[in-house]
Amino acid sequence: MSVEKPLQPLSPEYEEYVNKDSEALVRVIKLRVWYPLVRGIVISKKKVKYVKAVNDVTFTIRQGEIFSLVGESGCGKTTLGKAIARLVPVTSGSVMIYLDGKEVDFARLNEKEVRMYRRYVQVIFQDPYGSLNPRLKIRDIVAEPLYVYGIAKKKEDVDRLVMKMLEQVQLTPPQDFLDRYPHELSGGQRQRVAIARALILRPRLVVADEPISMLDVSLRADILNLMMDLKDQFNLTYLYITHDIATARYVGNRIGVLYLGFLVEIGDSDKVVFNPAHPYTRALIAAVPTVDLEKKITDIPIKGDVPPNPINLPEGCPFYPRCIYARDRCAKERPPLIKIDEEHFVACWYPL
Amino acid sequence: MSMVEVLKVTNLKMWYFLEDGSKVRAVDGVTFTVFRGKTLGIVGESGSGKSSLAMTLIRILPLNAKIVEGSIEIATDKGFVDIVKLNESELRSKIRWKYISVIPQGAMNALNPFMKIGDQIVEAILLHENISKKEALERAKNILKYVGIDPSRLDSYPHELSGGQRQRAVIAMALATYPRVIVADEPTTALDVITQAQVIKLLKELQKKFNFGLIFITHDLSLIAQIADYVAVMYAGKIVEYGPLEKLFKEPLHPYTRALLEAIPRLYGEKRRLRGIPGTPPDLRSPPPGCRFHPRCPYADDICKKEEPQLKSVGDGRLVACHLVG
Repeated sequence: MSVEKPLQPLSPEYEEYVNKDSEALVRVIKLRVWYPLVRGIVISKKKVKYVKAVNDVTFTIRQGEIFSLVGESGCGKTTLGKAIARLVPVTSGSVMIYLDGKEVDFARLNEKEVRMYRRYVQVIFQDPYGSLNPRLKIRDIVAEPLYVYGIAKKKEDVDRLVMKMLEQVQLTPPQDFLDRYPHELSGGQRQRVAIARALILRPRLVVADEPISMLDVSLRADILNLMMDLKDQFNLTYLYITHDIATARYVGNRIGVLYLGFLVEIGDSDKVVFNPAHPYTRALIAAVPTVDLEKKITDIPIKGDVPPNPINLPEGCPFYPRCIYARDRCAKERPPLIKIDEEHFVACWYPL
Repeated sequence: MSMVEVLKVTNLKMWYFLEDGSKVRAVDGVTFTVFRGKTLGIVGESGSGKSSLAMTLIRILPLNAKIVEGSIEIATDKGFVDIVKLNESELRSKIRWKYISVIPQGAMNALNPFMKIGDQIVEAILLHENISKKEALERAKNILKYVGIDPSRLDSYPHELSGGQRQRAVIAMALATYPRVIVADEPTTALDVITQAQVIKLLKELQKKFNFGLIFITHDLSLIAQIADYVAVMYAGKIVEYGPLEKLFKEPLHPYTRALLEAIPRLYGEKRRLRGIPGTPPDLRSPPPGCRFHPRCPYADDICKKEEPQLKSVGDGRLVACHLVG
């Protein structure tokens, strides 16, 4: 496949924004994740098609920051998160993470190295029902990473560490939880177990993929609060992946908006929400229901109701087929991220 | 303009009877009224009984579920008829779908995958109305147009439509017999925000045009804010607060309603720390005595633990079930 040709051109100003970011813990450079569409063994010379899930995404995640990645289902946000944690193979590009004074390219790690470094990047998944092994007791779920990395071997050491961790995610008293199974816990408690498992090795980066969307409203706030508290306590950095732009702004220092695997807008979270510059971001915000009675959903400034399929990407701007402002240039040339304000970039030829 | 009642639900109780002899009091004494052309939003968390209530209203219930008390009166051409008192065949032939229809949860999968969209709508019409197939087909075409689907799609199978279009087709089916009341149970949960917004907007437009009373059931207060005229907040099988949207949102009275509204971030609001609600909803096999919210309520008093508060009027068309209010 042609990896050489960039899918989204980089503007010098955005390149500088990313390269000169002195606070970056993670530097994602031209990250591409394509899945080949093949059935069985293919010997034919026909060109293989790809599902183009993530298309040359470039951005940083700063030390101690919560970076919110928003987008609708199918926009590639989950794949991007998994690629950063090396849970899916990367097609091209790099994921530079600063660990112990040196830069490690997660995209280039071999299997052995992935195992070695995975402890620094942990993932919290959406579904606290599916992400915990139902046959393991809570003790063993939380302790598993300790065994894998040989950090504690003696049962009393393991129990001590696990109980401390359970206390830190507010599953108290911890001894009440050690011998229980996931099905005996509520959704909120399970998500706390998932957080405990993710944090017991003291990772640097936590990829939290829709961690509250399956929980009841009354429980969501506490899980978000817990994640924020643990961030300070453990000096964590989060990539918070969500479809919910209200919580994205709420917890996020910056927001990145993903559409069809392209980063179309990135910036300070208040700037993105209060002054969206990309027509897609604007439509997304117009569509978000909120409890503010003043903001009623009216006409959503968008055409059609489905994004184009990620196999055949539009030639120009990924959003132009649905954009109500699209002009000739949009159909032909793909826009780079350009600066429109301090800490605010947009990939649009005619920003709002 | 005076308000015309199209559905009156009084002291409705629907319990599940489990094999071990225990009862789950999913709907436990619910009273409300739905008006023509207006939307009642019913909001509750999982286990609040809101979905059970939806299924009770049209009496599509599993075998171990039983309406133990109360009435569901629907306005028909011959005056109010109590759905609870009808036998299944009367209900099916005279009331269900003709006067009250449903947009079910997971509506995307509610269509028959082996039948063309048009045939499914025509079938729904012919089952309930005495008109010719040609007239039914004509109406199906119109209804599709109203919900924003090109009538040429009559011959499409569900899998040929996008998620948003399938949702529209399900709405078309619920609308096909011009019912007086439509019950929508979490109709947008599986949809993306933009599609969801389009569906909400469509429901509002259709309501203006056809004047049906809408019961919109959801766990999401922000959707309620978008669509409801009146709101009922359900907790553990009961309505704990009822009132006009603006009043209830701007000045929530029940501690549970207040806590729910505090737990949600506002898009443009100040970034303050959110407050969750401690604990979890009760097991409806053995709900706590007194007020069912008292174990999670920061204001709970002695009386809250002993005596069950009744839903009582506090003026302004508002009702609250709390010992400490009013």
